[in-house]
Amino acid sequence: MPDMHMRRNEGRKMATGATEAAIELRSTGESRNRSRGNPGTGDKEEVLLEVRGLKKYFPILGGLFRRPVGYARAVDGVDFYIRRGETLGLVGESGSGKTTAGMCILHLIEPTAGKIRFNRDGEFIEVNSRTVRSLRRSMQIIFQDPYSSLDPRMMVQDIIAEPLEAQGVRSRRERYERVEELLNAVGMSSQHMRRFPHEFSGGQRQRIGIARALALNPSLIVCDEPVSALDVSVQAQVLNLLDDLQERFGLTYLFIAHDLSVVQHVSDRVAVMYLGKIVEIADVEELFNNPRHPYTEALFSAIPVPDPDFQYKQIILEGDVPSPIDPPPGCNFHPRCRYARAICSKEEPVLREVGGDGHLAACHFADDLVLMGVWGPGIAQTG
Amino acid sequence: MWKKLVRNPVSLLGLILVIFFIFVALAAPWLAPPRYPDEPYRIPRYGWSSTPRPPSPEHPFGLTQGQYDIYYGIVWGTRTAFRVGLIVVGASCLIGIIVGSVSAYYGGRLDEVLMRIVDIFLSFPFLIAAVVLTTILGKGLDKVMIAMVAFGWMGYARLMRGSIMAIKQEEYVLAAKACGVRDFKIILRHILPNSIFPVLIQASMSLGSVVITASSLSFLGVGAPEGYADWGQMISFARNWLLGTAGNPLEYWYTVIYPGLAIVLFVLAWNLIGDAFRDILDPKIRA
Repeated sequence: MPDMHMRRNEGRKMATGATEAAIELRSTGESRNRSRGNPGTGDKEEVLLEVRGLKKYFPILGGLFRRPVGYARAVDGVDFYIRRGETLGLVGESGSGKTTAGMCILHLIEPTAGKIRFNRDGEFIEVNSRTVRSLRRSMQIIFQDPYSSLDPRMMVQDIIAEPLEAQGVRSRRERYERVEELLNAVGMSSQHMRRFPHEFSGGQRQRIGIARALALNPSLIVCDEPVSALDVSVQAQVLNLLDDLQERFGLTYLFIAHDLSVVQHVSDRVAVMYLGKIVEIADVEELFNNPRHPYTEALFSAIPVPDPDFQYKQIILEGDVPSPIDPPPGCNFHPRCRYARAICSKEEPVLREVGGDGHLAACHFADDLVLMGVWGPGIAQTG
Repeated sequence: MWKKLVRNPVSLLGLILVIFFIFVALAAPWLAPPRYPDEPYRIPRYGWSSTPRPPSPEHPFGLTQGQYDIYYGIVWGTRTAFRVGLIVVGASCLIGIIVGSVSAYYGGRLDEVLMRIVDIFLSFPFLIAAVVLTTILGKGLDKVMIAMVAFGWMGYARLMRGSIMAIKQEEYVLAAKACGVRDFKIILRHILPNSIFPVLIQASMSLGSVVITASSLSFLGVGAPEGYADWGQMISFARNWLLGTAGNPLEYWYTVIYPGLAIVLFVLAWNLIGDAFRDILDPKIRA
């Protein structure tokens, strides 16, 4: 057994080109330990953002008069917090509500219910439509699609200067000086200022988007799949850039992604979403070594291993993700779960502490099941 | 922008033609001094015979049916063409932009209602609807224009609505929102500039076709009153003389060629300009 896990681990190191290159630059496996052991960005335990019971239901309009005939529960009661200076990865399949959750935090979508509190200089401010304008300085977003996130009719200097202008930097010269600074920070130069977005490659455009997000010196950046639209070789560059910027400016990231190898590389902690709910949340190594939710296990088993001799023990989930309009009773995951029992279709499991150290899972049998992680039990300690 | 227009030979041709027509329209009182200064659009007649007379030194383009001076009709008809084109396109464009923007911005039930109204208007065949409405309103160029606006704004409304709906979804609009840019400014800076150009390009292209339609209405006899300087009517005069006489089918060529040429060149000019605008206004084609 250990042998197989070792193989698997090695395989993962070589997984995608992106992670490979990124890991090399980060001197392998322990990258995250280093940054966690060395705070440098203030008290690691300080909570920067707290989300409680966040819900977003989208009405489904039907009939002649466009009345709501149902609701799609894109986000259905999500709780989590992010500590200052850390990266919280948010993973899940498409349609699991990750992006909606991110947008709700920034109030780009009005949440249906729930409280979001943001820690500004030690004082918790509730994010709502009244306070959000003043909080825009502190919270920013990087979008998934670098082709749609930059206005094609604006020059790079005006795109990056837009947040400065909106937040009251009056002098044009001052704004452009800052733009120059920001372009340098993201590895571009001031000669790009007077060009239009279409003159740049995807990776460069994403850098421009990052510069715009940085313009106001935010403390939290929601990264909404920032690399999934990019070429694998460019992914690594952008991930490293994000990492450097985090260190330099003491940023906190909510990193939304579906690529597990990317999430594993960048995150300190990871939350797994399924059908609008968080099913498991833990420190990255703990989660990858020792998943406690059957869905997390199934996700991990889907990570490809580039080794022709590797014997897959993939867990193939049956059926589709249920519709968020009419989620199954009890545990959302029970129709596809191979460990499901009678209770699973009746009672909804709560997200509760399992095994200490902030490891939470929403499964009735989280304490009893022995699930297979990516690195397998026993491997992480040795290597 | 001017450089672009001038550098491309095709758009240069369009530009030259448009400038030429503007010149003719402005200089009409000097190019063809009116015989009735109070009614400059009334084409002078030189006799009462219905048979056209060929070009001569006094009448460089000849006289058409009813002895109307073709040259005078074309020179002053240029003004008519511009007036009809600009007013009809301007008014339908404005109505369309307002209806389309309101529809896309507020969405929901209002959108539904407005778009059904658009559907109703679109379900009438344009030319027939315009003829009927003009007949009801009475003869006259202003009535023609009203009818053409009444059945011509829907395309712009659709275009504007679709274009705004598409732009609203773009992430740069969200990004601006996330930066704290105010809604009004987002509409002004991001949504309108990115959505209005298709409408403006459409407008510049249809300036020509509107003139054709107005001419067809005049040709059908529901447009300008008889003797009014209007290209469509000039062609309508030529209707009986298209085939000439036996043995000389092209005898009365001047009755149709000159007004026809004026219309063709006018439409061509606006189409070329429209194409050029499209290329210039698309930042992706900027060199």
